[in-house]
Amino acid sequence: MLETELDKVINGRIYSSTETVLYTLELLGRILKENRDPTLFVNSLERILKARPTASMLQNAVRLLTNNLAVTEVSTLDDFIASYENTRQAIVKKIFSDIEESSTIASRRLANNDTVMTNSYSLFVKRTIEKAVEEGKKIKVYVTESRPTGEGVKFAAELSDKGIETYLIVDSAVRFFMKEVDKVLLSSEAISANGAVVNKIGTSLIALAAHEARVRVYVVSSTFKFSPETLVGELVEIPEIEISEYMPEGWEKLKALKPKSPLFDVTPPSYIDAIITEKGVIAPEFAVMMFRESFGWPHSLAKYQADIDKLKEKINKLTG
Amino acid sequence: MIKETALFPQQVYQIANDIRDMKIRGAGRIAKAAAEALKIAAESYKGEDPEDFKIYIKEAAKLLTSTRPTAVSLPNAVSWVLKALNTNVSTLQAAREAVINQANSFIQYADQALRKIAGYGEKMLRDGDTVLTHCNSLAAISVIVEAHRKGKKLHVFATETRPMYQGYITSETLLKEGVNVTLIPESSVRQIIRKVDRVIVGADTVAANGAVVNKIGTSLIALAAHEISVDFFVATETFKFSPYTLIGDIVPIEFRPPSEIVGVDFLKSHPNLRILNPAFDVTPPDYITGIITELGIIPPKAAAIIIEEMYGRPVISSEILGRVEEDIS
Repeated sequence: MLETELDKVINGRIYSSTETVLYTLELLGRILKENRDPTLFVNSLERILKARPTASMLQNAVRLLTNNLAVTEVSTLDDFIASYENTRQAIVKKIFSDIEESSTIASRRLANNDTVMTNSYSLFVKRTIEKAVEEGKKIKVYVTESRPTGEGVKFAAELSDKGIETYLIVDSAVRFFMKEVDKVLLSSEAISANGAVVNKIGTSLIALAAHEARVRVYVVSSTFKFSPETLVGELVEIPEIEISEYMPEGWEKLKALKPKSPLFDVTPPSYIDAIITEKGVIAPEFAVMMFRESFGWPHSLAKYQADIDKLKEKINKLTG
Repeated sequence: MIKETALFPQQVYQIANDIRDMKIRGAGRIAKAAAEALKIAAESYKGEDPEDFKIYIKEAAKLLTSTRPTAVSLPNAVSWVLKALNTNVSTLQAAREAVINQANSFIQYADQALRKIAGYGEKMLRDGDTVLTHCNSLAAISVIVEAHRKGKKLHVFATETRPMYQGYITSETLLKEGVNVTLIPESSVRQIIRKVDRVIVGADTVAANGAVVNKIGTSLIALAAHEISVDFFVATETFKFSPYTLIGDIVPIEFRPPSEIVGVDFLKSHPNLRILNPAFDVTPPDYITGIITELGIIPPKAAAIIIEEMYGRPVISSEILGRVEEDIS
């Protein structure tokens, strides 16, 4: 049971990075409350951190959680659980306020009668479009299927159900329709120190086609998605997934070859006009200044392991 | 469904329907099937008057060219066969034979063309190359297979090719030939292209300026290849070059049904969702290294030379343009 639920996070089966964080925090909470097993809790937490190095928001959220739990004084397991719940709620609140603030800023960039192109499934992009529409702007949206996982289909359906003029297209039709697009809105899995954006596979192709057609590209994100590892030169690793479960029926011979696809790609900062965060609109290259503010300068990754060690020590005392 | 009347044999309607429903796909195969259909129509004509026969064949030509709008190989193949009617044929027997011979000559030409393309094109691939292909092109496949048979070790990335997944057919064909193939989604092309030495695709139509109309996504792949200077080749028979573009005609892009992308039930439960399903896009000549034809490998911007060779010089005054329009419109 736990393994199936952990698998969803570890193998990236939830395709919105924000929803992955919300799910993870909820899952870790249940391990604590239902199993009352803080050792299992911290082990699961470490496994998630190791399994999803690219998911910056997940990393940042779980690290913030670890730090809070490590520094809060507690004497009983119930206190520990209560302190977890407080921290979890604070983080969830931060995430939703980030979405609101970033999307409010981003929606100002959309003008009446704009045609927008986007891909994948993003709460940040969704709120941006919704807000522009709520403000009375008429917005037309192109959404790509976003193969191999195809969550763009769900995104397009949700937008159209809200009465927004939405067109679903195949991923390869991006260049065909780009000439009709005013702005590209992208989400992000991680943002690196040089302003490059890691996002769902296909994103960099859209940005390239937009660049060719001189269409503006905005990434709607938050500082919680900045990847501190990239400040100290670590490369963002792109995980690959097996695509046979997303292949059409039949074709057993081809499925037997277990074809794989990268889950994300990297869009260079030169194809991005602005990254929109809860702290404002920045040029992608300016991201590094925000890193300094968010993570300290010079940055060291050692403190994250120190927090985990401290947390483990605390748990050892609790379970005595 | 194309309305069947007693006019043509059932097989002719069958071919027309199969072209329209994409059971017969690919510009080369469509062209050959159309020639075949005209041959069948000629063979089974029941009337006696040669003038009526001419009208009958032209009607069959109209039926066939109405099935799909984008691939110029279809009207080109049809007008190739219709040439038979412009010679002096006074008896039904002579007219019938002329059409059958002309259809056979087209089919023969098409088969030979593929072999020549394979022969020229394989020289563009080097031992150890990684090749990317899109959709399911007989011409592109024959180039890859020829290079493989010559002993060159290749690794091919084949795109799935949404919405109809023709890349799966390409993958299976190449696997059967013993070529090392990896299937990839189109969305990963910019990530994968870094490992690629050569891109090779087919064409549905080549315009007079060297722009290539091909399966949706071709131009996006060409753009990604151009971004990092990967050579991009188009393999195609010359009957896919469009004489009509020389007189300013735009190549119409066919939009296909939404149900090719999502299920009918899904569409019903989201009635506001709109789906746009263009079947082709246009790759500008600037992104194309060369077009491999049975007449040789040409720079794309020299496409007009092929059209001139086919229809006489200057093409603009060639009777083909007027005649084709009159014959098939």
